[in-house]
Amino acid sequence: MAHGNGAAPLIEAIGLQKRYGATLAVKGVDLAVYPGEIVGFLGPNGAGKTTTIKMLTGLLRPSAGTARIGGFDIQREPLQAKALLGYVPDQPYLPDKLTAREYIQLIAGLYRLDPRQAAQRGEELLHLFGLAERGDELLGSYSHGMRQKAVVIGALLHDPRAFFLDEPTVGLDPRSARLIKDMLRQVANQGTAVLMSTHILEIAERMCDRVIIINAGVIVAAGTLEELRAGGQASLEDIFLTLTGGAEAAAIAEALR
Amino acid sequence: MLQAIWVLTRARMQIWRNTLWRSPLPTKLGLAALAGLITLAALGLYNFTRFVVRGLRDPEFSVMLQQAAAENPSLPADPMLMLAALPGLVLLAALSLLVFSSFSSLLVSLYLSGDLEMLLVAPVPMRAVFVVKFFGGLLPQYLLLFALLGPVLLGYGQGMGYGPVYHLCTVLVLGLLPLLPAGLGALLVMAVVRVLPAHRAREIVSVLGGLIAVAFYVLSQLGDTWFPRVATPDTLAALLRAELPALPSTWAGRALVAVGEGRPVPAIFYGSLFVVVSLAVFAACLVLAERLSYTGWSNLVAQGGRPRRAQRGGREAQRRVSAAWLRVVTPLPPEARAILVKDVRLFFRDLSNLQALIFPIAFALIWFYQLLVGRSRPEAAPEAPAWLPEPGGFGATAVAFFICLSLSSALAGTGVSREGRTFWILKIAPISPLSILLGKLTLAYLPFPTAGTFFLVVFAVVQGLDLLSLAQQWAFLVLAGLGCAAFGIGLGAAFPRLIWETPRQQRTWQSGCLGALFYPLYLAVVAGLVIGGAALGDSLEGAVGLGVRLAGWAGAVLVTGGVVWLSAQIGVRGLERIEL
Repeated sequence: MAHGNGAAPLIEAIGLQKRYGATLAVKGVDLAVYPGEIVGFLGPNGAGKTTTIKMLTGLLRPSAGTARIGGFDIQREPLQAKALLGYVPDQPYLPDKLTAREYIQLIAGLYRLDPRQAAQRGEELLHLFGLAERGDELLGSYSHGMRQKAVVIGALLHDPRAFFLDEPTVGLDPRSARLIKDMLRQVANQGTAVLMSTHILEIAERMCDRVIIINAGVIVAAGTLEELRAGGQASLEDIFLTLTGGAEAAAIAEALR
Repeated sequence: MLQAIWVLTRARMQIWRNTLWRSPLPTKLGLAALAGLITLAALGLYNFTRFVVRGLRDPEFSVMLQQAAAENPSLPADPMLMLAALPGLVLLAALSLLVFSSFSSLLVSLYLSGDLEMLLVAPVPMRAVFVVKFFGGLLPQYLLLFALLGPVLLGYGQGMGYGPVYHLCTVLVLGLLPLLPAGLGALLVMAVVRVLPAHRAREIVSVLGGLIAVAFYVLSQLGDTWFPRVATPDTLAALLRAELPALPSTWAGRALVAVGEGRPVPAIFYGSLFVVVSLAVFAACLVLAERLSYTGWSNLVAQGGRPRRAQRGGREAQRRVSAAWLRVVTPLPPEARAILVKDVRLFFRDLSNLQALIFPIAFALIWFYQLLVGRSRPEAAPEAPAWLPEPGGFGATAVAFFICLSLSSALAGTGVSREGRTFWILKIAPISPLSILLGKLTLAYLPFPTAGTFFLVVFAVVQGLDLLSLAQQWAFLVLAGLGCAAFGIGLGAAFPRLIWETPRQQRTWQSGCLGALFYPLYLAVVAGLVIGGAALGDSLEGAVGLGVRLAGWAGAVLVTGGVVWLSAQIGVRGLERIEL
């Protein structure tokens, strides 16, 4: 679903900045994600993707600018904003001594969901992600991929309107990665705005309605793939490397051969 | 293999150098102060030992001892016998401590260090990794041996007039002493982690360590009942008998004495025995390390894959049971309740948390025992004013409060810091900082109205206290408990530490210092208001006196309310400041 149609963005960043001492990690990011969109957030390592996502989800306080979720300022109206968002971090730290089902109970309590409905929804998601048989084992015994799935289940439990994923397919087997992709498309079709950071350009090419490329804390490109190609035939990889200075690295690699 | 050992050791030294070089100035100053203290302690031990040994060798002392031995046949007549046994006994104490401490330090070093994955993948001989990790894990023990035991042995040698060869051999003995107990410890570690995951083994060891520490504490508290006199000639004789000929510490001690006295045959005999056995055990570890280490390391990934045993009736019944006890805390908002349930579940599933419960439970049991044998209730002086609480009742309240505070600290600990890297789950959720604090405070406060009530009721029944006294004690306990629990949680949120590897690292120095200042001050104010109100009320008659008493209590409630409010403010601000 393309943006527009008069719908207000569910995820909005206006002039977001983040300063660490003398270093400006994010230098003024403006972006918007509309209902039903899957937007890929690309950039080299250290570009500011995770920092931007953390400012949008309230995990970091911006040094300047505004982050809004569903129209609510995440700093000024955090409870309303956080009730609308789901977040899947790149590092799935979970309480090792809880089972998956207990983790679902915790999320249900934190988000004030009806316990019965949350348990039912949780069972559906556990079955969907193939964790139902191991739902009573401690999260500490899960592999990285299983933990990632458990986090996704927790993030989807309350039907978020804005969904943030930071490298969601890292550590997942192809079947699980495909499951995540299908799930994201289904979620977006239901009107959720999805902002997903990834290094895997093929995922961005296949899944994303739009792509935002950030480099050194600044957005260097944003738009659909067709808009980024500007009538040419370049792949997303070529566009990405051109915009983020990767062409020099390719030349060095070629010279070293 | 030697090349690999050198590379790994050099890398380890570079890490220490960089850590020290780039640490903040207060840390550097702290380490310098610690090094200075240890140096002073070493010098003190050296001089003290030399002084005592010279004193014992003094001919005048020998004459006095012989005279005393003539009157008391159980006294040893010859101090040289005791002196000759001293190195062996000191080394025996060191050996015992090494036996107890080496298992846990080697478990962490061999299986729980963060670089193990990289080392096992690299083309480095397993035995080289084992050697570096083995001695790395023993570093604290070596530091203590050379800093504290070394001066004692060197002072002994100086006092006895031994030559430089003795001192050289002392250094050699200290270097080799840990090999045997640590070698056996390493073999035990490698055997245990074939069966149990290393993380689980560490939790069990920490609980066992806590039980041993409590056992020592219980002995010290009840020792004067069971062992009325310790410092007797019989004890001295028993100590001398502890120098068993089959122990490596005895061999090392006798070798040192023989070297010092210039007797080469016993020196070579006992010295060879000690060196050969120590090196043989270490060599066995090296041989077995390659085979056993991989198996143990692969167990690291398994952290309890067993499904939790479902209650009878399945999950629905379990949910109903959970809902039932949750009704007890229904006044809590759902999100605070969810945090409380989660914290209770996590607490009882982590053995390292359970270890923290051992001390307050042991203390409670000792107190009960002393109460039942009638030793814990001192009588009030007949001329004491009526408003002064009975010493027995006051003591009971104080002891119950201390036990509840210990339980509270164990259960809720550092509050928010206990979340660690999983704090993002709370940060991202639509819950206010106040709800988070409320969930944490409920757990921290739980021991006071539950265990505290139980202790006070039992005490009142055993001692025959009236209902009014019991009610006053209970009111003070739950009020003071609320203030302390609230401040602890607020402080923990204001100065959190979310990146930690062991529970001990959760507490920040700021929260520790401020807590140490606050708790006595707050308790003094509240106790002063209650007791002062009672004193003034007793001096006035009728309703006025009663009013003044109640005013004292009202003041205490107001102060506690103020503390709770202030703690909430600092806690909320602290939580809002946390960035992940």
